[in-house]
Amino acid sequence: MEAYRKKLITRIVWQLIIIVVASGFVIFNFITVAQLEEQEHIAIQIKGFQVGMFSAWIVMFLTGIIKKAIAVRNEAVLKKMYIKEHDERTRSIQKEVASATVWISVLSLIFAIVIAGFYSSAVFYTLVGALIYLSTVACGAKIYFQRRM
Amino acid sequence: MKTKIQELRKQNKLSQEELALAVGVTRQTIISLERERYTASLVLAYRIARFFGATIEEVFDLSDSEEM
Repeated sequence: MEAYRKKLITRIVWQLIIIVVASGFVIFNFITVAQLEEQEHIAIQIKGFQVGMFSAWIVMFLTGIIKKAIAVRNEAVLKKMYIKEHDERTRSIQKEVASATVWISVLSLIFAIVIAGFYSSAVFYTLVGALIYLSTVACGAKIYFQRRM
Repeated sequence: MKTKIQELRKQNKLSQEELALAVGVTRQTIISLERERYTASLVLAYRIARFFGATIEEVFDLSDSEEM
């Protein structure tokens, strides 16, 4: 349980770093007027999405840090958190979900690539790039775990 | 896989939460085990059997499992 407590403290530190970086990005976004697109409303939408995403991460990690800080100080809460994280049925479900997600994502991307080919070359090549990246990560993970286990 | 977990738990007057905490899993896992929707790993099966002071064969019934 002591090793898990130290692991939680390490995670708190990393999440604090991510919060600082994300906050920096949100502030940077508010003070800059950079535009990627000629159309202002699209540039504003992209900026808004980025700010929203980083703001959500900040809130999520802050909540996580508070929960972990409570667990680090309270043995009963720490034990419950440990059990929840290491529960074998939960891990089994996560593995099944990850496997299904990869297959569904790859098949959906292939379908989208075919359709995009009829409408936009930019979307087509972006989706092909995404498919190559996803496939590379999936293959890399498979090789890694086959060697490790 | 059939189990006698619910029967043994009630004999010992334990709640699902208490049993879950004792063997290091969540209450949902105990529920799934009792409903025979989840098959425990060897480690978990051993922990549960040891907790009840029984053997794995006394707690878990593999007779209905598919023959390899």
